[in-house]
Amino acid sequence: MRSVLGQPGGPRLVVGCVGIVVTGLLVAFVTLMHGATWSTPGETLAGLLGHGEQTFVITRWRAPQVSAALVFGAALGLSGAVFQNLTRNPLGSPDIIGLEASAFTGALVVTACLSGTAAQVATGSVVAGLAAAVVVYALARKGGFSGMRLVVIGIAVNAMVTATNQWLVIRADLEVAMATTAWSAGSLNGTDWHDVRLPFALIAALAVGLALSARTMHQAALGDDLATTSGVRLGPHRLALVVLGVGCTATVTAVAGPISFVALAAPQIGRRITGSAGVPLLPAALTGALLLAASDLLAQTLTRPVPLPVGMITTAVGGAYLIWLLVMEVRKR
Amino acid sequence: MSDPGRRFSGLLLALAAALVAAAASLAVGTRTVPLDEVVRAFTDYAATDDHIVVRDLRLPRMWLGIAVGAALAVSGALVQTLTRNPLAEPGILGVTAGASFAILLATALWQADAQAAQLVAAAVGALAATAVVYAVGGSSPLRLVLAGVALSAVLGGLGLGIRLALPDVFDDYRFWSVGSLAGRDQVPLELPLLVIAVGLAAALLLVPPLDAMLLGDEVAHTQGTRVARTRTITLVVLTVLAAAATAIAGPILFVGLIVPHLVRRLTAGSVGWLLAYCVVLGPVLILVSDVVARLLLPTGEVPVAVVTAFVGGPVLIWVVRRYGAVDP
Amino acid sequence: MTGLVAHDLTLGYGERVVSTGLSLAVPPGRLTAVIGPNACGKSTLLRALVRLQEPRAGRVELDGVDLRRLRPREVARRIGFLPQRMVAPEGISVTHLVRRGRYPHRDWRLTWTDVDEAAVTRALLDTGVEDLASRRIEELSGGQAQRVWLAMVLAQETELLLLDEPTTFLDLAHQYDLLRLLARLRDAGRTVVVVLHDVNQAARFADHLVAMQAGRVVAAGAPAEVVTADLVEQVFGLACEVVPDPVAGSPMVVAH
Repeated sequence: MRSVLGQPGGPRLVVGCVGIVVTGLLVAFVTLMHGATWSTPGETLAGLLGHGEQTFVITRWRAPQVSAALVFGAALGLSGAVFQNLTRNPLGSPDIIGLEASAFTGALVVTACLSGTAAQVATGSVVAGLAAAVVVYALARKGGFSGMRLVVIGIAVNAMVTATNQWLVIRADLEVAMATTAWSAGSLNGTDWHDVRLPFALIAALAVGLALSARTMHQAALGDDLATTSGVRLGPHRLALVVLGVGCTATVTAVAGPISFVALAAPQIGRRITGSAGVPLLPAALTGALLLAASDLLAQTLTRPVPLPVGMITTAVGGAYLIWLLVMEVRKR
Repeated sequence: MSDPGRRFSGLLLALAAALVAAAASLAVGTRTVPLDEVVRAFTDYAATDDHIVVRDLRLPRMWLGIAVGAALAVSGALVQTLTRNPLAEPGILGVTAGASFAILLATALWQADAQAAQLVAAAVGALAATAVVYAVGGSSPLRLVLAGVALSAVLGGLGLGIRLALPDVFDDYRFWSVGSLAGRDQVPLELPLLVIAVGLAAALLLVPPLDAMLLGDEVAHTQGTRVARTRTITLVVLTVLAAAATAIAGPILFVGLIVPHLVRRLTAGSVGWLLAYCVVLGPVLILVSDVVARLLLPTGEVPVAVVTAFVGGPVLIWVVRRYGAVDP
Repeated sequence: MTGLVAHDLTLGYGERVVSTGLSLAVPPGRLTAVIGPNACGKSTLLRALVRLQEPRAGRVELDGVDLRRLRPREVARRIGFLPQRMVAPEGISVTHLVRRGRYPHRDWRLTWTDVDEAAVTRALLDTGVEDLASRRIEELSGGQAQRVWLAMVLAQETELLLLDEPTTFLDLAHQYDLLRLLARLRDAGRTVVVVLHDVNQAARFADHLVAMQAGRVVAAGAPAEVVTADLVEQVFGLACEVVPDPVAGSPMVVAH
């Protein structure tokens, strides 16, 4: 049995991935049932298939948000896996090293200065995210490449960028500030099909690019020397990965704001569930989708009828699960 | 290894910087007071507006800054020495988050807004967080940081949830949730200052055993150091210091990380010198950041934590680039 | 000129120049050992031969073509390298690690061919780690792990094999196992270049010795010609006798 990522995998990989997918779909279905009142599973299914009186509510109102949770979660998981591979360090995730916060700065600036369209905001956030990646990477490169140094520099950049965001929100006009406050916590509430068409297409393209780079990425995980002598062109490879990874994070951030912790937690959770070596992409993407979908369900139901920002839940849920995994790992030894 | 002379002159330089920073924090603000007037406020008090601003508003704030800066820097130095992990910092290891969350929880449950109660809550929360992070993180430096980041995230998320659920209780907390010295000058200072002073004194007593442990636990043990006990006491001291600072000023990240990094080369191999430098330079960082915060936005002040991030970030990057991140 | 040849290399790190005017021809089908004191530039030379160190001047040629003009994968299919330090992805099994050696032979399609499988099986057998195939790399001892890494490089199926101090962290028995394995690979037709610390081991197992000092090649040739008391004194600064090895008859250094 071989995974699509070109790394032969064992049965545990297959079982793990199928398990995550099934759970994710179940969570998504339950979220579709949720509204001002709960729909029955039968009504929801009928609505999804296009008949029954709830069709409109389910396909036009609820489905976009559920799809956004699944796709954005997968994108964040992918981006986390990419950067954790690049830095050879689980802490090298885009949410820790300041890329997510920078993408949000870009979105904030474009919104405040140009009162931008969705495409402008997306561009702004991708550009700012890439700029941050270039800065962090350039600062971390000095006589070789050290993952730990990159993480420390990333944490520093993250702190400064987060401070900038706070400063921007303080300085902004009241109206903009009100809008950005909900956004700055990371939220999917009120997403409709119109919002997600462009991001979905972008994320699909990025995912294809990542699938094609996966084998080289795993080869590079063997260390710079062995990667080079087995034929990897490290420079171009890293550049491609950074662009793809930032693309994933920034696309999500432009629409939903900084949803932190999915990128950090999903790859680590995914690789443990599937018993994988290193940090593979597929389990990270699937786990990310499940994590964000479940968080969105919680965000909608916990404080009914007022929904919470989903970023709040992802930090709490993702963090708690990561702690639990770490505890289990300590106990095993 | 640097010679003692260089360390000593370096410390004198740091003290001079501290003096300048303290003077600036008394003189600069919405209402700038000339330096000779600042001096006169102490030598020849005349109850003018300038004198009142300096003595009643800015002097307590300066003491606060000094106490918070020293506590955070020493706490960071202790945790870096203890874990041999250059990334360790009360903020990163979840200690600050534990203190903040405990204060929040105590306020929500018992309307505990008395200062002593908040201090106790902060200390308990910080200790609990430290215990959890240590139990989860074990001996691996990376896992320790991972556990700290994870715990901070969980507590941050829960805290935000509580605040959203009980908006009335937390009108004040919103201010406090970003670290700042503003508005803290009205509360009595004696208790937190006392706690921090005791903590710093205790840190001083820990210098000899920690020095011995720099060579590794085994060597320290064979030289007669009680390794386990030193470890526990150090953890308690650093946690209480971080908790007290958090209880007064709210979560201020980075000070505990930057200051020890800055002076590590100069003080290599000596915990005593490291702590001495931290006691002096921690306040410098906080006071300078506070002054900058006042200048940046004279009308509504920028929280000092925003400025420490901007002062601290580049310094940290410079240090990491110059000396590398891994060697403790 | 066939095989791997270095012409007039200048090598260095940052400000520091390690070697100037360094030339070397690797004899095809032989086992070459590079010896010399610490920091004499052995590893740097080896890294230049496998494209890990860009020469400041001069060039490295493979069958008369500058390495820089070849595609990285093309080079990787012909030259394999075992560095001093490797990173194992957390939780990876021995088989999966050895399979990574097939990287330069696979194209963008995700197929795993019988040729790939055969190469991996042969590499596991050659290094004697076939029993460990399903174990995780972090469960292995240092000697076992070293053999697994070597298996990974063997699975790359290159005619040239370069190893940077592969015996350093092994105990004595494992050191000899590894050297015998290298000799067998040579007998099977591969060209092997290995940096070794131990002059006696190098003299016993290599067909061709290269002695380096301060970034220069001081002597090169058959062990019996290279290992003399004068040369050891000159290169290592050690006064010694050279006597025949009682088992193999190769030159053996005995310090005064």
